[in-house]
Amino acid sequence: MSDQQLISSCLDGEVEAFKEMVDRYKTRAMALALNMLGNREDAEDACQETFIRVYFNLNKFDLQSSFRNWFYTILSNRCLDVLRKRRRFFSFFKKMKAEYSNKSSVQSSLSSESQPLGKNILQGLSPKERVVLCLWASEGYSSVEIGRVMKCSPSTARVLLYKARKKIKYKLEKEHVSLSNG
Amino acid sequence: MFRCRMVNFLFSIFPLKIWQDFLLRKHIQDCSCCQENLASLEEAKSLLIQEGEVGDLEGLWPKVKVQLAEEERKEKYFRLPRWGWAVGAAGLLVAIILGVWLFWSARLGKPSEEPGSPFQIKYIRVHDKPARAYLFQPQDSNMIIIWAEENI
Repeated sequence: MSDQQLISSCLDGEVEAFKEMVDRYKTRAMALALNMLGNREDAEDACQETFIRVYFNLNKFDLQSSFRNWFYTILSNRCLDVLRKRRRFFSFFKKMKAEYSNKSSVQSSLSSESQPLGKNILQGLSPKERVVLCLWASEGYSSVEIGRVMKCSPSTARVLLYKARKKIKYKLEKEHVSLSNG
Repeated sequence: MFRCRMVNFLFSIFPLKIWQDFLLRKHIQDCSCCQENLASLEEAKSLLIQEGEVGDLEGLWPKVKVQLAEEERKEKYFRLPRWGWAVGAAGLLVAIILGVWLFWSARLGKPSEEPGSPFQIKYIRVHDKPARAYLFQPQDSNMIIIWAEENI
């Protein structure tokens, strides 16, 4: 059954059709959310929220356009919202931490060391760069398609992708040098 | 090599998307030297979590289903009050308009009580004949006494 047929069934109130849609998209949604957010709890919440939004906005979806793009737009916006909230929390947390700088600086350096290499490198990218990179590398999207998902021009998508790839290369080489030096 | 450095320098000093995209299309995307400074598709993929690595997601649908039921219940619950609020707001608006209208009509109908407002007697008649009129206002009082006297 195609996406369009599933959507029509969902609009007729068939919950089973929506279950099939969830099953079809949950893995790729989770992969994108995990790459964006970096932790499973937030990623699961973002996926859940996305599916709920999709269900309640299906009547607004244009059946002539790509459902996958529309789905990724909602999901990436949700992930960007989570990251924005998280950034606000961390800026508040940093202010609080300044009062107890000695203790917490040791703890933060420990926590950053314990993170895996890929996660560490991805955290160096801006949220939008992360979305662009995920869509390019995991989904094989072109800059035109990325622009459609992110509601920006293809040139903006191209520039974001270039910056993301450059940052990653730089960090990978830096890591490689530090590993080879022991 | 010099050209690549120049392009990279121009890319970084003008953070204008159109300009940066122009440099990308005109030089960077076709230059093997510049491409060496960018992570390849494989390198990017190696950093990202792939679909096969996300683990068990069986618990997602039950959660979505519960939340859907909850949201639908909320929507049903709020549907009637939403109309109620609209009716209430309209009623309040009508009441305000009515109140303002009544207030102004009552104010306009009342004789003015402001000090110094014009007080006029056009004519006075006593026993169907024109008479003289005298007005007295005691000090520190709003009372006005009208005294009418026959013309002899």
